[in-house]
Amino acid sequence: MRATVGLMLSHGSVEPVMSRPDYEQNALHHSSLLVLLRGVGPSRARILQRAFEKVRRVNSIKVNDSSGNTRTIWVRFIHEHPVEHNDWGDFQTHRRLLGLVTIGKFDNQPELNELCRLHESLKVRYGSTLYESRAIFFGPDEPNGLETIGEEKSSTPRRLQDDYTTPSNFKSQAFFYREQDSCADLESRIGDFVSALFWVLESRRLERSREKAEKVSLLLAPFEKRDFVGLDMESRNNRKRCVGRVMKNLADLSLQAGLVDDALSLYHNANETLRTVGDSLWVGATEEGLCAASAMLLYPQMREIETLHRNSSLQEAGTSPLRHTPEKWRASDATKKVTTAPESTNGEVTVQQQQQQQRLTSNSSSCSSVSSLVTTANNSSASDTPTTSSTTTSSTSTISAAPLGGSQRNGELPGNILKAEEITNYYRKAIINYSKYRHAATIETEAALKASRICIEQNRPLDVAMFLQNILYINLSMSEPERVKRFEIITDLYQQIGYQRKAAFFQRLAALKHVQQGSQAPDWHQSYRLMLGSFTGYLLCLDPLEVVENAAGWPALQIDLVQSLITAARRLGHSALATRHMTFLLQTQWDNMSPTEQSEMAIQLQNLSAQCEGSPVPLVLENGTVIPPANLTDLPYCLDFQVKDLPPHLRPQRIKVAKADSGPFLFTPIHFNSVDRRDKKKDKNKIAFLWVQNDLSEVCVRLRNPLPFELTVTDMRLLTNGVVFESLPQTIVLQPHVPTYVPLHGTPIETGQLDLQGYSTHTLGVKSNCRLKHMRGRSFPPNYLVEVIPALPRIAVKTSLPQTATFSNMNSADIVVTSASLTLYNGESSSCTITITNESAILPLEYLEVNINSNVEQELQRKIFRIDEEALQAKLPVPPQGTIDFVVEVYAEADFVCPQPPSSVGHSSAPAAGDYSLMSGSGHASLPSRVGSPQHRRHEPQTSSFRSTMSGGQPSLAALSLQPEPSSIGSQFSQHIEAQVRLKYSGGEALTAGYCRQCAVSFNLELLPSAQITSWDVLPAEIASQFYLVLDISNLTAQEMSLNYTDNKNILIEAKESCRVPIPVDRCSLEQVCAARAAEVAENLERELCFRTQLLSFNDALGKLCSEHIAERVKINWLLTGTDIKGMASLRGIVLSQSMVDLTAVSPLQWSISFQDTPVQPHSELVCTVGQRALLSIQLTNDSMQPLKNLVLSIKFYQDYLNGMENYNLETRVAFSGPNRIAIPILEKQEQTQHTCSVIFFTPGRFKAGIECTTNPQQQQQQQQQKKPTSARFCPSATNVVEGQLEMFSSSYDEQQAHVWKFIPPIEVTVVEQ
Amino acid sequence: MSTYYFVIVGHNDNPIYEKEFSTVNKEFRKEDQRHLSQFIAHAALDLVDEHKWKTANMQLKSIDRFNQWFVSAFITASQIRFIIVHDNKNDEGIKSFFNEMYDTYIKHSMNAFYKINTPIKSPMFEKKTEIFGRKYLLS
Repeated sequence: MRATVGLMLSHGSVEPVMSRPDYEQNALHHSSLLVLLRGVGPSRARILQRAFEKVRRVNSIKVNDSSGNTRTIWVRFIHEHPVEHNDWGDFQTHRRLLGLVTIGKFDNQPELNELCRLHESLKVRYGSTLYESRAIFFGPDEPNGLETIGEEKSSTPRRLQDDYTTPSNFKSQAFFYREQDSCADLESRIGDFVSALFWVLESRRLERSREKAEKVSLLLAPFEKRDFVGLDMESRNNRKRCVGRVMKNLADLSLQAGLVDDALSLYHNANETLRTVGDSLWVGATEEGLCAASAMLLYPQMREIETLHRNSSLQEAGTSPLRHTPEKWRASDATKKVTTAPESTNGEVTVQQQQQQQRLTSNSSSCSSVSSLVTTANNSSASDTPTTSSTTTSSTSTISAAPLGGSQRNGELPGNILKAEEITNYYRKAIINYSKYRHAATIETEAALKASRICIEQNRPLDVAMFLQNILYINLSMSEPERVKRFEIITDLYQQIGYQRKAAFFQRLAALKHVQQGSQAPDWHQSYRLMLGSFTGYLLCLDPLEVVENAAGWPALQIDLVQSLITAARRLGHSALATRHMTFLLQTQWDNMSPTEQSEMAIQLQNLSAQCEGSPVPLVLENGTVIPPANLTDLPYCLDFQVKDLPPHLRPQRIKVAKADSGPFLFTPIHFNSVDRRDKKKDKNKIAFLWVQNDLSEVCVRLRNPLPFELTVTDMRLLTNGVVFESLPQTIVLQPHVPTYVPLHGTPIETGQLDLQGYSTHTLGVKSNCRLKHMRGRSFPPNYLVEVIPALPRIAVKTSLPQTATFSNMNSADIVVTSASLTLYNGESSSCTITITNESAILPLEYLEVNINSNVEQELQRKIFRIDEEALQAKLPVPPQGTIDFVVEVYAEADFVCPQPPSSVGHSSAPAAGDYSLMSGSGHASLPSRVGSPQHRRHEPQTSSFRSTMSGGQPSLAALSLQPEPSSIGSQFSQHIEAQVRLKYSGGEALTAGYCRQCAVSFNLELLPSAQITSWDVLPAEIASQFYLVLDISNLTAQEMSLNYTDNKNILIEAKESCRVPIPVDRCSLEQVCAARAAEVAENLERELCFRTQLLSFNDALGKLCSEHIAERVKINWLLTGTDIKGMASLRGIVLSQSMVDLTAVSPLQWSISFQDTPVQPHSELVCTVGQRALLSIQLTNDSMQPLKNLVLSIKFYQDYLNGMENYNLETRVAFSGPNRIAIPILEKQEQTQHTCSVIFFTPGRFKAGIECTTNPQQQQQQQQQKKPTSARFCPSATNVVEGQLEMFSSSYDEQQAHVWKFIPPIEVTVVEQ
Repeated sequence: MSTYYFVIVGHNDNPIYEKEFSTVNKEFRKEDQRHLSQFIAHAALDLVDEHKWKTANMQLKSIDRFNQWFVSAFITASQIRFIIVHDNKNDEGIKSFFNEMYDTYIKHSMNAFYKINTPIKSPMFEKKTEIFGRKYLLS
């Protein structure tokens, strides 16, 4: 007895006065023999697991009874059995423990002795009801070596029981096995054991059945003992009661002994009998018995469920495939109809259908369990061939894994069986009957559970709910653990009928009960497990992504549940879990919380994570549950995610290569290599620009802190996929509710495609991976793809010039890395050295392309900037960290000549005015033959000397002066030129891939005005091969300027002053003129043919030619005295009027003049006497390539007073014989013409003779013919022109211009007195 | 001494309207009470869903019970569930209340700006609930 108590204590089960409910019981257990299967000795459950399995597999045997019928005997193995449950054995015999099997492991004799003692003590403990017991002992493996084992096994296996002996007081039968033994005969031995039990039971049954009705004693439930004290046991009622109870007892025994039919009728009878005497408790028992017996026949599969359940539970708890079968049944009402078929005659069919149904479910739902397969195999064979079971079985007993009562089921069902829907009613009645007795609460609870299990089988969830509901109201005084157990079992049953929400409710209750206040040993572990289990009921799951996705369920309850879970995890000391769940809560329920709750939770999370940091890795619980990572993707809230391009000067560009020839067509609809380009366009998340390997790249994220306090985010990095990327951590402090831009940097290490998925944060003590695809409510693509190209070199650029203070506003100013500023006077030259350093550590600079962009025209730009490209290319490649430099030559190119006004007024008036001046004869002292001048003059003091004596308000040509046009200001004021020296460079792999970088040096050039040619004229020189270019040059600088205008002539000009300089220049040779003419003719021809545009006049070409001629020959060097600033002004762009051109170019007419038969030499003194006839002979030769037409030769004598006045009115002093105006209609090439006249001077003096030849345009002649020849514009001599020749001339463009060719210098005649 | 917890539950088991009626003074009312009511109401949804197919009635009467609390339910044609958790029997009152609330709910759901299954935040609805609650439940 002491041992028993010791055992009880060791198992820690203090038995309550009332028996504990057996929550696992179902209706079919009424028919089983109860056997205690217990492991004894030191716990070695794992080792003995196999033995337990084998024993448990023998859950039924078939026995041939004395009359030859086959009976199926069921066994129920249990692990624990409160002794006082045996007291209820009279009330319901299946509560009585009939057998005992212990399994133990020993290594030596003392251990074996201990095992035997434990077995014996158990026997003593359950001695009152025990029929039989067995002990299974596992001894040590054979001590001998391996080879000897083989020998001995082949000869005579050494038996364990030979080595070890059980103590003398050990009376039970024992089986000995080696530890590694396969225990092949264990199952048959257990079968024998069960049949032994059966025979004892059978004998009891027979004993009971033979009892005389008058002699039977009253069977009592344990609590009834006092009730019947002092009652007349012999009364008629009591007799009936006795009989009824015995009959009920016999029915129980019959049921256990496999005589279901007998049991049914006995139950019916007992029910009748007992009802008449109002023995409610026992009536209830009979009703329950009836239900059990009926269920046994109707739902044999319930046993299988149990078996399956038990087996599968070993593998994985809670995920038994059969758990969800009720859901399937719910889906198909077919089964239900079959089950509730009212006709008892259809019973057989019903059962068979059901059986098949079951087979289907078991087949489909659980293939994992071996025993289930065996079961179904047996099942089908038994049902198909009912007779085989009896023929194949041995006379004593057969062992089968889980055979079904095939013979009975295939026979006619007994007529008194309860119909499916009656079972519920009977259970209800039984429960009502039990409920009348306070002490029968346990029985009532169990009955309700059995009933609900039957209802689950029948697919009547509402009845299940009703029975389960009822359990809660049974007033059963029990310990807290029991109460929790009750909730758990209710949970389990609700889950079986698919009532997830109900199940979750009770699961949560159970979880709370585990840890409720006042509890001695709060079991946080269980509580945690149950809380986690109730997730599904509240439509939660562990993965936050899924929860956010579904957005279903009752937020308030979900928050409560997760909070309880956090508490449990914290109390468990599992702070990693607590942190994880808190993160989960914040992530999933953020929107369902008020701002205060949000900040509270955030602070809680911070506190929790202080103990254990959260990180985005799955956590695995002891039971194998995986808690997926929870990320705070929206804390801080990402508003914007921008992938940034590299800075402009580091941005990779394609090196432009000459386009491959793709055929003769400019456009082709066939895309040769653009297929992939099109695909890229579809890729919305594809970034258009490129990143460069080993270059720091940036992504800009705009974050908002939704919490009311400062949020520190540390270790913020980019999350990438694809090529290796080194992210730089970033730490930021976010102010509440203020959107903040956060740059995230990193360096791609490899080339290829980089997949930007989001960023990782570390905030509130939790590391999170915030992926774009998980950020909801914003239109982010799931990722961004950036192409990373091979590394490019980097350069640093320096210039030798000071930097500019201002930034240029030229386009693509962003690529400028440095700047240079320079101030130059027009015409000055300078240079700038640009130094390039290759900054990269490994890459050489192999490619460098320099070009210049500026805000001036290309042509001008080319004159200003010059770079020696070849010298530069020769310096390549630049090794890493190496340096090269090159020089940019800068020349301050400017227009030194005042530009011509756009109006062409001068053109038409020039010849006419020229004629006037000729006629008026007013001369100028210094400009003796002033016939043309540029139309544009400036108002300056000097110009006033060009006074004209002309009358009639005609604008004087010489003084013709216009206000400078606004457009011409440029040359007089400082001018700004902005330019960029653009450097394209590359090297290494990137060069082969065709990429380069571009940077630029910005040049800010200020051009100050220096010398300016304000006006100019051409004068005939003393010799015919030269002419004088007379320039008015003003010094626009603020300093004195020394001007060198010919080889040896210098002049000093004060600041802002101007002066006039004559420069002798060689005339433009006739060959050049001819060439120009030929080119012009050809061009005109072409134009006429092809374009029919306006024809160029020869004079334009000639003027240009002369202008260039002058520009080429005349260089004016200037020097600012006192400084070393010097420069050169060119006359490029000088515009010459027609008469100037005539002077500039060599005349096509060759003059040879003789006076008094002596040829006139330049500057020769001619003397003649008054009144004497002097002969003047003029011979003209056409030296040009063309005939000259319409020439007028005129001779005029005048007196030059050398004071600017010239007197042409010499009628009284000189007389001509012969015309002084001669028209020469045409002068062919190389043709000569001679004109001779005589002159008589009347007075002595100095006379000059102006001899010139003019041509008149043809059109004017035409006009002349039509109009009156009085017009001032016409030359009076034009009447001489022969009209018939007009057509001839029309082809020559040259003739359209008026030309004046003079004989230079004028003849000077000194007339002396005789 | 009676309390009523009225909730309208949407299709995703999400409460779209909650209201408590009680004759007990506010000080005595506990937050726990409301919480428990929510849990009970939620657990009763299984039974509501079971019952709604078994009867043609919209009124599901008292379908569940936990300790002293009863759960009465009403189901609309669009499968929106009205649930009242109460601690005393008042079948008639609850029935009338449900009918009136159904009417109110229908009117509210007619609003083109109201999306089904989203929380009801109408002050008009609130006021009506208040009126009917006082009229049928607390009287």
